[in-house]
Amino acid sequence: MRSVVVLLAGDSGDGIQLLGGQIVRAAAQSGRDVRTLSDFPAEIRAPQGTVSGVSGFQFRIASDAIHDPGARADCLVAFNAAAYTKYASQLKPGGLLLVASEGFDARSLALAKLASDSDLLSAAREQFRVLEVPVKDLTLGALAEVSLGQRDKMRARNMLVLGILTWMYSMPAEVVETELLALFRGDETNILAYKAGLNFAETLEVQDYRVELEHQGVERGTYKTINGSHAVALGLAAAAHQLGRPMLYSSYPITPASDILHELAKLQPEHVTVFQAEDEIAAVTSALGASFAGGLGVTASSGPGLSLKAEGLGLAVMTELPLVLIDVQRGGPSTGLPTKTEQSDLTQALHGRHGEAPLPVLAARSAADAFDTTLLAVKIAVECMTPVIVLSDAYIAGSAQPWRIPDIGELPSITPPRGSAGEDPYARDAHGVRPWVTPGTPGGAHRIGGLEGEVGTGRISYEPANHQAMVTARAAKVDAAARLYGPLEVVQRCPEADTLVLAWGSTYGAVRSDVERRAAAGQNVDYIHLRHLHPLHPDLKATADRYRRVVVVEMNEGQLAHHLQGLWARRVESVCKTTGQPFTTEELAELWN
Amino acid sequence: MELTAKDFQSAEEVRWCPGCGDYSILKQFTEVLASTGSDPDRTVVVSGIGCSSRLPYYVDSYGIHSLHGRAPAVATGIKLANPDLDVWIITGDGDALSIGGNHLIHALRRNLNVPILLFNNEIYGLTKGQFSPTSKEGQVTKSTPRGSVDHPLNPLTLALGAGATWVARSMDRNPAHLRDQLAKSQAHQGSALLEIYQNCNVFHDGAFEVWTDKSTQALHSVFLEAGKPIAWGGIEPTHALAWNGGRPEIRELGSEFSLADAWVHDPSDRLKAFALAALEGPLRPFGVLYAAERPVFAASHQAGTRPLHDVLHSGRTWTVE
Repeated sequence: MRSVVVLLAGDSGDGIQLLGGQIVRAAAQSGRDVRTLSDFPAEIRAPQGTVSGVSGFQFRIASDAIHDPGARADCLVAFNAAAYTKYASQLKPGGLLLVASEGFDARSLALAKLASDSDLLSAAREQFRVLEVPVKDLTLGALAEVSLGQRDKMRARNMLVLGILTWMYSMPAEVVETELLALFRGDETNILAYKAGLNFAETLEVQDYRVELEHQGVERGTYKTINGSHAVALGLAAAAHQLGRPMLYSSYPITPASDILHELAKLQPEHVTVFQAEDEIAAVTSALGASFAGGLGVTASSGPGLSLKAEGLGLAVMTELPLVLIDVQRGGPSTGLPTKTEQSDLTQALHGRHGEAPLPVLAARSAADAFDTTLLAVKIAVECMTPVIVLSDAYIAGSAQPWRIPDIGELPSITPPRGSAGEDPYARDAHGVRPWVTPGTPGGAHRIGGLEGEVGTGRISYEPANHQAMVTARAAKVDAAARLYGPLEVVQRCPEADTLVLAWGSTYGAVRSDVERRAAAGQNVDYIHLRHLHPLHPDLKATADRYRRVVVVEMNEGQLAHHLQGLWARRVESVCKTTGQPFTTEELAELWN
Repeated sequence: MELTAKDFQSAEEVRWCPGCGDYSILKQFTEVLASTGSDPDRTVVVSGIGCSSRLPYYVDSYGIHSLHGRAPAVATGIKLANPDLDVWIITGDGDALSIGGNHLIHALRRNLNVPILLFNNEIYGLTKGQFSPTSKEGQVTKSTPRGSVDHPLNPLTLALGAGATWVARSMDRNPAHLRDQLAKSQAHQGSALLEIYQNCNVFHDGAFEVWTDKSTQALHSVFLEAGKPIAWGGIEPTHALAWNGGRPEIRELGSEFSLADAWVHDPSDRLKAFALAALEGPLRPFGVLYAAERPVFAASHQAGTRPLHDVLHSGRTWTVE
């Protein structure tokens, strides 16, 4: 077997995300490729045992490189009736349904709003292979000697299931154990439950369910598993190192962007100061203050927070100071779907400011790519003296994958523009970039602000021709940021393709799998995944002009498609959805032809 | 070489209305920068939006004219990136107390190490005359032709409530007092809120005349000095305040009540500072109402120190040979 998709589902207090995380780490360390997809409620502790309180974690393990977490599951692990009810439709016919039997008693059925006499499992047996495991009894049995109350012991149920899955998917058991010892700081309780699960799987009649996955050959190096939030934090740490100046990470708590704040607060990288501001506006404006003072201001947000930062971005555009804003997109508008994913902030990122206020917009396509994209954003912000928006989303933020840690020598250089006194504040170099003369520089005193400045001197000017000149100069400077891009990457090239698929952001995995499947089926489609949403890659239009059809896939109502259609004055087909859930390859196969 | 006030004046043409109180504040400000030996290369003047917030353009130092109400947030970022800079915030009653109220209270509670000069003219000037959060009830303005129905905010009690460590009041028309208060605000370690009564002669002329005009000032303005009785009325004071168990009382000085019985000003007493700040009637205190010490903000927000290699390799890693 090449890959297997497993969906873990239980109460949000059952430790589903932790269980998933451990399997992913074990799989990655055994040389398999892994992709994950989390699905959890927005409430911290939604009512126990109910469908609204179900937390899901999907992962796909493969012997070769993969790009998406898969569509329908080969195996569903359901901790209770509510979890089964919510996810049954995502299990393939004939797939394996592993259930914790205690989660299907009369009380659990009632909580899931099912009739107390309904026989869920009998019905399930008609569609799936069902493996009932008395998880509660096995856990309590394994922990009989441990002096803990039953409630505390029950918390180790996820570890018992971890043991079963470790055996079932032929993971290295000793690696998992080492991980658990480190995770629980040597506390044996969870290890006992884990080993009991392992033994249960090995000794009982579970043989039929074991799946052997081969190991792939991976590039040499040191690895860790990262999700998008951790990757952005590492990317910022790396950028601060490359810049060699103070970085202020200033943000206000909001889901799902907050995880970057937590990561940086925990990591404490050199040069990086972390500040939790009083609101979204203070977060962006304090970041801008740091940039004026000669550091680099970075802020992040999600959902409504992006709108609140629009005012600050306008000042950053006007003052031509570097600034990076990470937008971890979620379902909107308003509070919308705080824990679900969407790409619906694109139009706001591109256009959502008062006045003519263009700025570079980049998008990360995966957790690993978020590291590189963050570094590029800082490079552009500093080297072009402009605010930059990086679009991530809830899916990238929470999805994990193995990642080879780069050597510091591999990181891109980040070179601030000239900064000594003697030049006018808005004098421009060949790329239209102004100097960055920071307070403390002898003889460099100058004033900047939100009022339009005179060409060169930056002194207040309301002259009509001057305003036009400055508007044009700011836009040209942003367009010139494309000099920092690499060559246009074509992900898939088929012979004589007349269709070009364009996508951006977190749809990468699903779209790539989809176009590969199409190519294998004889449909010749080429595929370019956009990292640079503004300015577009200079070669993109000429490349797109060669195709009869251009199809844009995105998780919104067609925002990039409409943008390109206007920009290129040609027909662009839009394949989109706005459900708060990422595309699956299966779904894409159905959506267009 | 010692710098003079002129060295702190920029080449920009000053564009306030003729007769505006802001001219005096700008003049005293540049004089204080010179007299305190400020370094123009390390001085950063940060403002929001409004008439007062044009001031940075006129000062030859580093400066940023930012967004309406956001100056405290911008200054916070500047201090976090470079705590050694000498940062000033210039703001007004609308800027600081209405659109920027949130940033102001958080800068104060954090004890951001900056003086905050709040030019209070009880009106929106730059937008041509609407009532402001400090406008009096009944004040007729362009947006309140039948008189304002809003109760005004008291900037000093607000600052004290928000945890400011230095709170003072001065006025545009008393240059010596204003210079003294500006110098003290700069010397204070922590956030220093200085309310400056500033006359807007176009939209709200004479708002503070009773306290600032020489003919009436002696009767209504009390100039506080630490360790001295709180008394006023002329060179020989005629009146003094009695603490009266927390219910401040105005007493005539004479045989029944002498200076020895008066309330002696103690700027370290927060409760008494509240009582002084709350004097909203005909008697108004000027000078330092409150001064205390508390660790300053940026000192508690140090950059991390973990080398990049350790950061990248944090958590559990594995090696593929």
